[in-house]
Amino acid sequence: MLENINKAIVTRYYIDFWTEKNESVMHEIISEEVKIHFPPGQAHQPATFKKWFDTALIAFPDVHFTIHDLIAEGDKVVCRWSYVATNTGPFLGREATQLKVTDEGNNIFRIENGKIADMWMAGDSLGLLHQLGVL
Amino acid sequence: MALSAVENNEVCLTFFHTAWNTGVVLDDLLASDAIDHSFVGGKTKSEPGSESFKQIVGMFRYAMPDIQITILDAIFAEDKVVHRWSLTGTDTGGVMGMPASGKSLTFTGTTTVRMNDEGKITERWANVDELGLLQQLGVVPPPPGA
Repeated sequence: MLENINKAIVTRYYIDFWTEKNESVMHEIISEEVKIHFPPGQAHQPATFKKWFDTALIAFPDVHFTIHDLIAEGDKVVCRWSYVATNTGPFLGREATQLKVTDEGNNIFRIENGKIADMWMAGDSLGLLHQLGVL
Repeated sequence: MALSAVENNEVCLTFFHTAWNTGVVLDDLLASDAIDHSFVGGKTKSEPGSESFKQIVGMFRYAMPDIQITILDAIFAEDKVVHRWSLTGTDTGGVMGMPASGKSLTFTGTTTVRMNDEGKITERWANVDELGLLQQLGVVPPPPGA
């Protein structure tokens, strides 16, 4: 069933790619033409997944995601996620704080030909910046 | 009896359109122990019941009495309904305790709802671009980028 295949792709995105830091998964599950849709207030808006992965792991090398829910309909998958991470490297031009942070969100993915073609990000950047003492 | 996924979406569309566009929270469409898990607007805990829904809708409608929701995408399966939306309104009352700016503000979010077996909204998780809202008000700088 297409929905189950698509859910498995999104699971690999959060677990294999981000939590296990397996960078080679990026080429298997993310389209080269992927479009990342950030809300205007997203604190960190890298242009590509490669840049996102590299800069996020400098700042939060221990980031660990938990998938709370996966909802699939047609070519879309929604994931309700959370992560915990420790800020042990520079982030957004600021030095490491050594603070432990958490975030949660609802992301929407569109899957085309077995790869992520669109991702609409919805996390809590305001909460993250509060936790890091930026605001 | 549980509703179909399409019917669940229709209930959520009615509930959220009515709540945001008119300020009326339709208690009939909410389970008595419905819980809003979101922490928007500085909320720190989630109490079951319609009050937390009335609070969040009331807070934004007080700030922006002409607020209107646009549903940008809807994804629904089994007992879940997800809406990606934008809200637009004129800040005549003051957002999040700040003085009124008089500006037209637009912000986006994504909401996941769980429906119970009686076809009522029973849980809600929402992410709202609050930082984007504060940036439009000029109280925080725009993102530094990558």
